[in-house]
Amino acid sequence: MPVPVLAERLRAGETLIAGWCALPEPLVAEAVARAGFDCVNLDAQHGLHDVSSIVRGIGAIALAGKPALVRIPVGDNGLASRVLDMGAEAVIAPMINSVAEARALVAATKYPPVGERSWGPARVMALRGTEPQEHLDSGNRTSLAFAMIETDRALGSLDEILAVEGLDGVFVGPSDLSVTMSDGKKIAPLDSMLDESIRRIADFANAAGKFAGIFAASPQRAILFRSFGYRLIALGTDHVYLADGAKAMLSALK
Amino acid sequence: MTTFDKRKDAFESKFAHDAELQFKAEARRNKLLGLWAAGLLGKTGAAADAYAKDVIASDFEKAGDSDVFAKIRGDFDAAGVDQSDHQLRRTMDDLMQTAIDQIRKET
Repeated sequence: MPVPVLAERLRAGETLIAGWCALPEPLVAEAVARAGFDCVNLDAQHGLHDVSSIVRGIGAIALAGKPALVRIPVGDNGLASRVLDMGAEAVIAPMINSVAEARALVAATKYPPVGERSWGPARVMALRGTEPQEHLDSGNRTSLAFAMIETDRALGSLDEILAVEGLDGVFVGPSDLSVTMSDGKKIAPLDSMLDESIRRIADFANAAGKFAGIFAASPQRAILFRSFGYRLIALGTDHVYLADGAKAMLSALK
Repeated sequence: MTTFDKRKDAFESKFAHDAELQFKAEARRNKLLGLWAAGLLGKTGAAADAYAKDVIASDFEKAGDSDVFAKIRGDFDAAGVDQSDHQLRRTMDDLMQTAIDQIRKET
């Protein structure tokens, strides 16, 4: 079975492209993992995933030899600990707007003394083939915590959030960022008005020695974000992979 | 060369090889600036802290600090605060130096 690789590859300076699954079906997650993405995220915030589909989805992604990430619902730090126990190599936590919220995320995802994660990693040890002491020794390095930066409030505290010990990186949500930066007037994740903010977030993160991640709705955006210094880039969603594949095949008949 | 440009050069030579210090100093300057502006706008306590965070966030809109200047200029004008463009820019420059000094002492 696969050993943890996400943290290792990010620390080596690689840029990783993540598949994004909203559909709560392990076979979809496995197909996305086999399609060539470096890793696959299961979305339990806006996606349709629940605890049962997450635990099975992680297994299916592991079967394809890829690392799994999970985006949890807002403030659901209990689930953050659980998905790490289930074998996710990273948690993406939405709407982290303050140092207190970042610290609460770290508390849930890191073992003492860095955090307060409770012990119980039976499934992840089975997947990785590790023993308890080995898992305790390596867990804080191999299980990553990403704080989503996606509001103007978060930008106001970004330097302090990045300084939180135990937080591994930030993950930008361009959709919510466009909503808050326009005072609720626009949903425009592809708008170039966001580009300077997005560039500066990566600059701040990289300067602080933390990983910079982001969601990209198109390959063109992913290429731009890569040039900004983002190292974890989620590209599209499973709905789109399915619909675009079907449309491409059907249009080829015409 | 204006005073601002000289300070900018000094800043860049001090921090050219340390991006982390540069970003920390920028964020610190914007916080100090926000607290200064908050005082002139009659904000105190938590309202002043929140305003300072708004000023820090405003620096993410455009390259350089014209976005920060524009935010405070707009808020001063709306509230009838009597500060010229020159006074505001000079305060921004002075507080950048203060921020650099503070960050250097902390590291």
